Amino acid sequence: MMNPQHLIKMANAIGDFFSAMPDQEQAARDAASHLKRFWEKRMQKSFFDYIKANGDGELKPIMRRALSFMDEELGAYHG
Amino acid sequence: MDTVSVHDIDYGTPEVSSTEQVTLTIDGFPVTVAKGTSIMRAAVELGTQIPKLCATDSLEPFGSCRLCLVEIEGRRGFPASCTTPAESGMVVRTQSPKLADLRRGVMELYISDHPLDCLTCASNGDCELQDMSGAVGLREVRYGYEGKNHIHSDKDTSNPYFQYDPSKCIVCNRCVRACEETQGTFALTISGRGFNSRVSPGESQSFMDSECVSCGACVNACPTATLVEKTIVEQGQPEHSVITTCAYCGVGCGFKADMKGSEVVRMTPWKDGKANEGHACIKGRFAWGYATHKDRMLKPMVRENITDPWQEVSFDEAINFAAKKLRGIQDKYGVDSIGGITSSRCTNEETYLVQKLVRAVFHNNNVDTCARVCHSPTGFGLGQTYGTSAGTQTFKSIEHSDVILVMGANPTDAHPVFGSRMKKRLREGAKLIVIDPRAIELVSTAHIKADYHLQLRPGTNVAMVSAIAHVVVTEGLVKEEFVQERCDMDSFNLWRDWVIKPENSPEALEITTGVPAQLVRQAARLYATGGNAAIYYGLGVTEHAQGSTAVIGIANLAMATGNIGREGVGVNPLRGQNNVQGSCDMGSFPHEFPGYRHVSDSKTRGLFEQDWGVSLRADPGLRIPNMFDAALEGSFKGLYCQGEDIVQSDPDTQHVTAALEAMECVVVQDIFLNETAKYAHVFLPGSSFLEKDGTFTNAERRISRVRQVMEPKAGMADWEVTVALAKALGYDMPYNHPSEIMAEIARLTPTFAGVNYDKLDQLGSLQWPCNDEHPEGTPLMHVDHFVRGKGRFIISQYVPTEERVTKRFPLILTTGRILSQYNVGAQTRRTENVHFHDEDRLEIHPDDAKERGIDSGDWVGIASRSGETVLRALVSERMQPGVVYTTFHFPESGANVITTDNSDWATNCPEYKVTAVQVLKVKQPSEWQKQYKEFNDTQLRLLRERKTAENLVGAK
Repeated sequence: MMNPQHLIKMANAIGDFFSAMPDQEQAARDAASHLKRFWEKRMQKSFFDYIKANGDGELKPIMRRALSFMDEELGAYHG
Repeated sequence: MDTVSVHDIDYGTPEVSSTEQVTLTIDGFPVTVAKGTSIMRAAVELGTQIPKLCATDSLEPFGSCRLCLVEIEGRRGFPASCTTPAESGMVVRTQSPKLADLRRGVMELYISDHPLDCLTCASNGDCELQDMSGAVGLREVRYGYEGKNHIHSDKDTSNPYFQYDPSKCIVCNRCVRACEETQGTFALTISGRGFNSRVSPGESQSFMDSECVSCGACVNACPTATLVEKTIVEQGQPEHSVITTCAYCGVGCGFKADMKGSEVVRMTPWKDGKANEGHACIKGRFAWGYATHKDRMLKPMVRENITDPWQEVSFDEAINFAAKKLRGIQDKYGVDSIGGITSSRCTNEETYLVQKLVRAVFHNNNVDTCARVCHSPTGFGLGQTYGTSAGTQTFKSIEHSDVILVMGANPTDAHPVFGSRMKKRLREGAKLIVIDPRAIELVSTAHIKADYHLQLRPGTNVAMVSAIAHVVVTEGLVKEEFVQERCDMDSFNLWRDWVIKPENSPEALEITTGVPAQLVRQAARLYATGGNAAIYYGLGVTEHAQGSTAVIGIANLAMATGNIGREGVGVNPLRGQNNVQGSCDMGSFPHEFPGYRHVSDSKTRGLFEQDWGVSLRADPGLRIPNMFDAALEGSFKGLYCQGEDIVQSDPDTQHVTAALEAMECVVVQDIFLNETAKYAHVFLPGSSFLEKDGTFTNAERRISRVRQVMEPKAGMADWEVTVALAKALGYDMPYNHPSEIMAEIARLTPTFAGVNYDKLDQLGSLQWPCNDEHPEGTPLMHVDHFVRGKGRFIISQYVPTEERVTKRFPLILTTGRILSQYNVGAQTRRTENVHFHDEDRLEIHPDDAKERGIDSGDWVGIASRSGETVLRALVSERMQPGVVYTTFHFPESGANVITTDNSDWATNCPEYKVTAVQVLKVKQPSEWQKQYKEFNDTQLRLLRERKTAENLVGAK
């Protein structure tokens, strides 16, 4: 597994950027999309595996909201 | 071979741009020129030459040598043709018995104090004094040499690249004016009066001790052998030239490689090169000796383990070894277990081939480039806001700027030729705002003083941009008409509502940035209302945890103030390496095909699949830092690295080396055994820019030809090596010449559709987009509309970096470059440039130094949470208290041992510019440095002990 702490940190940094957007629903969707467009699949898989095993408590709220869109978009990687 | 004459036409005075034309008669022939053109230039345009010495077309006319006198009907006397503008109806005579007498008289005086050693003079055949003596028919010098003269003056040979021989000086002032007008350093002057007048660096110092920056402008301008390159002194005059492009920074200067056979004897800045217009810096002009340095690796080598001695083999053997290893890794660990890194120092064609190899032959998208660690946030930020990942202007555009905002860039050191252009415009009166934690040279230098230096704390760029934007909006300085016509209004309204919040005001952010709010307000007003305002930024903006956010913020600012889409304005990233722009354009990023098209775009993917005859992946690959993480995790085992030194240049060195040690096959293609090659299993000797054909694309999107002036020293050009590796892996890339690779790029990349070598030969260079709509390229971007249609404002919220000062690490380290060294120094360290900078130093403010008992020259340990290294201190007022600075040009310095794994949220571009550190006086090298020395010594021994064909035969 890719270093999960590093991935969580990177995901939260993505969340920080999108947190400022007024439409938080869209922002969460955009954060999920960013992760999909720029993270290689083993990073995505490691990230999801870690969240599945350890919960989403280390994620910032927007990234927790983004998880549902990631689930939708990244289902193939962590089924 | 595409050779040109060594000598260019010298028009005597600069070209004048005017829509108005005047027609005059010179020696009975009519000639029409732009109004304001000198008679001297008009004569050259007509095809005749007026004798001259103090005039040259790179400098404003001076009118001192009295050789270019002419007769003008209806005017008394003999006006100097260099300083007299052509006028309609003027009738000029350039030759008459009286003029001949006058000129001979002048020449006679010059020659009476000039050594008559023409036959043994270094400039024999390239001396304007010699030419003019011939032109005026000088046959005798009546004054003799017994009187007072300068013939026995001592030479100054202190500069490693050129010498100054005062005995040959005719005091034409060309060198002094070149230093002022062209370079903007003002290091030279004429000391003494009358007969005692002589050129002098500084206050009668030697060149080496003076403020001279060795740009070579004075040498270029000198009409005699007074200032002449030492290579010319040693090797003689060149016999042909080849036009090519510099392989150093992102300015991409055009050069003439002046040759004797296949040997370079001089690099002369190309007058018609649009990026540099005849100017150069110490690196491009002089520091090319690395190409033939004894450290060049010319034989392919392989080894099973990095603890084994190398074994020299043929290219075939090395490539087959690499191919077998890489395929074996994929068979064992999966198709995604290998990848490649393209080089921003290699050509577009070579870079394109490496990404093609990864996508089409490795069957994944694990390709990245060193732009990852410098300008990837530029690609992201400008792509999101404007629709394309590139600067908006030409360099020349700055001539129309009224306000210049320089942020996180140090052009006079890192992009010196553009820095000189900038200084010229500033001397003409443009206003300057510098946003930088350090007092860079532009803040206060000869005849230039920044109107505002916003000396912010490292890591607070985004807060600063927000504060400026807040002022623009709340003080009613938005260019409403531009925004309404050109930008997406929904995005603007959201952005405006956000930026006007009190927390974005300069007052609220003062505590964050450390810059007084009033100063920010004044600078913001100047940027928004001072006329054409242009932003130039560098790695001080991008190499942060919020690098992409800062680029977005800058883009917002330019749109809000209407500073986009015309001359003199724009958003201009100053690219670090010569082909960073090109390597990005060529699809080096793991998520993009050439032309910035995402790999998930099925239409684009289909285009490449059809052309390349393979199926391609739709999911993004690993970025460089991700490759390291995956290697440590055990899923990434093989790397093909062309022309990059990731061990020295990437952050958190120990993390990088651990990752490389975890790999089973590292293939390095380079001209030297660089730091990365010491972790390699296969070494493929690369070729320097002098040894290959191709193109580079500079920071203004300008595609210029790189032309081969000598055979590849190792026997193969870099593109041929990649083709061979692909073939060994079972994929044919049947190119005969790089022009065919460019034809493929053009076929598959809309922005390059109109680019081909014939057109580049004809026009000199092309700025992309170059297509049917813009067959000769696009100097200015976003003129009528943004590439994405409407410009998109994006909220750019400041988020402090996690890298914060603590009791344990109370200072912030930021890193940068110095003029004489380039990047990891692999090239410049192997030149005489080491005389200008022979070690990386830690710059520290006097207060911080005093607190720690540190003096300049003391050894200091710099420790961060990543590691520790030891450098010598340089106590400097250029720093603000709390901030220290160093460069990373020497491997043993270990600057990147200290930098961390923090990176930009969007692109993973490392946060080189902010590392919390402690600095303490020490007496010995750091643990890392001791380990580095041991490892390095071992690797050099393994190189020395390499098995060669000869010693293998001997062993049998």
